[in-house]
Amino acid sequence: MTTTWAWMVPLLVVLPLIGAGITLAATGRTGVQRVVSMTVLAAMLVLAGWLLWAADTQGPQVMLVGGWMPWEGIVLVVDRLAALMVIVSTTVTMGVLAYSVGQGASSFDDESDGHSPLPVFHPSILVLAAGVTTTFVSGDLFHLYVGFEMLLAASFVLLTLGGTLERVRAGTTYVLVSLLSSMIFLTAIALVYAAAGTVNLALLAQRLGEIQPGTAALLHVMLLIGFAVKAAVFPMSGWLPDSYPTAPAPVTAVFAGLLTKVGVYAMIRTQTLLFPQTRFDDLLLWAALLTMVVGILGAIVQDDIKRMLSYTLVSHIGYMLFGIALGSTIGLAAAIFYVAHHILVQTTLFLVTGLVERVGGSTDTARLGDLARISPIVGVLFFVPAMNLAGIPPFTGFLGKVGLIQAGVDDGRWLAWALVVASVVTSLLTLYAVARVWGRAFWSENPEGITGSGPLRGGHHGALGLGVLLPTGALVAVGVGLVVVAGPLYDVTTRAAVDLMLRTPYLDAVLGPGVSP
Amino acid sequence: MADPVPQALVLTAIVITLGMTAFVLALAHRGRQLSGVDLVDDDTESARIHARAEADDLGPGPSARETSDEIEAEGHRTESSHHDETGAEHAHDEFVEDEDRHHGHGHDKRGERR
Repeated sequence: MTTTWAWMVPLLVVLPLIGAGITLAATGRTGVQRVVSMTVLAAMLVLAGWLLWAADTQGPQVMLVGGWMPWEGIVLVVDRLAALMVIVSTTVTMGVLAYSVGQGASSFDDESDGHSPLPVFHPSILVLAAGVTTTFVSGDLFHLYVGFEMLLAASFVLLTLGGTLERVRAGTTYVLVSLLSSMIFLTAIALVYAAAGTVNLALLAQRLGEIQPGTAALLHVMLLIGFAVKAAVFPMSGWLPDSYPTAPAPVTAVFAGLLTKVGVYAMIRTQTLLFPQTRFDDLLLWAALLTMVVGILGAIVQDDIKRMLSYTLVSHIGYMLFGIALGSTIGLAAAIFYVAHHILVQTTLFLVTGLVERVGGSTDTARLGDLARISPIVGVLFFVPAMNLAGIPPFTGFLGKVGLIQAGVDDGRWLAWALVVASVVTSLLTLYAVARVWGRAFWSENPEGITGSGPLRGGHHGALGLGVLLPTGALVAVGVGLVVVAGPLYDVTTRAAVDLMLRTPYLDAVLGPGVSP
Repeated sequence: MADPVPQALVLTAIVITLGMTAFVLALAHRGRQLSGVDLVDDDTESARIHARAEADDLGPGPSARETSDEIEAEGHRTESSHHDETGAEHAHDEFVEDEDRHHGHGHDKRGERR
């Protein structure tokens, strides 16, 4: 059945795609591109906000695309989780786009070989946004795959922007790993269709319980592997720190915020809707534990800020996986809250690293120093989200971690306790990792003895205009401001988690009341 | 009647994968264009095999160089038989010239890198 505000749902995907078309046609007219991109993203934000309200008060909003019934065609579903994810992802995309606009046309010129890649930047970002949104609103496993491929295709272009040797090398790793995980996912979809005769998520939720347990376990594990590679869960996380840091700062920022979280979102969806059994929960808890610990051990030895942040990104995926694997309502609520927090804070940190690079000419702490004196404002902008990431009260990182730890303690199994300990240790090590970078880049002596002479080694000191400072500052402010609305936000994520665990609100909305088991 | 849904799904997947393959090929071409070699620098195994290929020592049987010489000779034979009347000399010259240029290019690139 189609619901009141369902007509808004397709717009979330169609608008950015139209925007991508217009910005591509307007190649060379940067002004038009900027206006179109920002308008599209702002409109998406408004729509997503409205849909969150509608989903929260009236239940999931369902769109039967083309009027086909769920067993024949594609359905788009926006429940609280999907709406929340769209809001957060669109917010960071807007911030990043504003940053790259503020950076000006010279943003990629400092690369030896990149004089002309700018025209494709706006269309690619918009296609990326469309792909991310597609995966969030999709109610169909195959459509989910198409969304993945959309965002992957855009991310390939963005990662290899300019086509320099370094980026081509990093891009090759990323492209091949992504394609491999897509192949696993696609094979899993084929097997799902063979076993259950549908790829609609709501129908699968009913039918997967009836097929042979062994078959269901195979499908489950294949889907999990496909998503785990995307989400960079240990032991499938090795590709991430090698491929992200070479990209331009805005690109790395948007990737760090969104791409892995799309994998996490897909895991939340399949774990709750398709496989509510506790089949692989212990395995996932182990994966969460190892992701956290191995990731953060990698982070504390990195000298490069971007690489350090990439490792913390891997490590903190473990927190979200922890919440999902517990399989309890409060665990899930905390995990969703953590996803929202982490998208914001990780994107912000990568943007600030872009500022550090602009001021200091490098992101390698061995070549940086004394930044706190050279540019105090960058120091503040780095410090606040870094503390947020480490989970210092009163920031949202702290609230998310407390929620997860509470869920772990409630669970009571020894493995859950082990994860509680691991998450505290990881939090402390994150603090150590960011403090180490903070000390070396901002407070140490300038390593090459260059003091007070303006730009350091090719940095653009003084070129740190409002164009880049404002968007970064705005994202830092949103990250901090999330604390103020943390109460209502936590309520929404809790209600989202309750509905996800119940499954009936989703099934009723898609299939009509009473059809669900 | 055949189920149309899997056909639609397969068709979509083929289209997507074709696009992705095109991108990968473009990426590979760009990598080759930039570095001039397809040697993976930080892969010791690849470096070892490369060194052995350079030293013409790839195990028993006809060596890689001999094989490639044979293939080349074969190519020349077929080419000249094809172009017997229509200026075989010319085609042959062009082939060699092209190859020389190619080799020189490769060496230049390698020189630059070191």
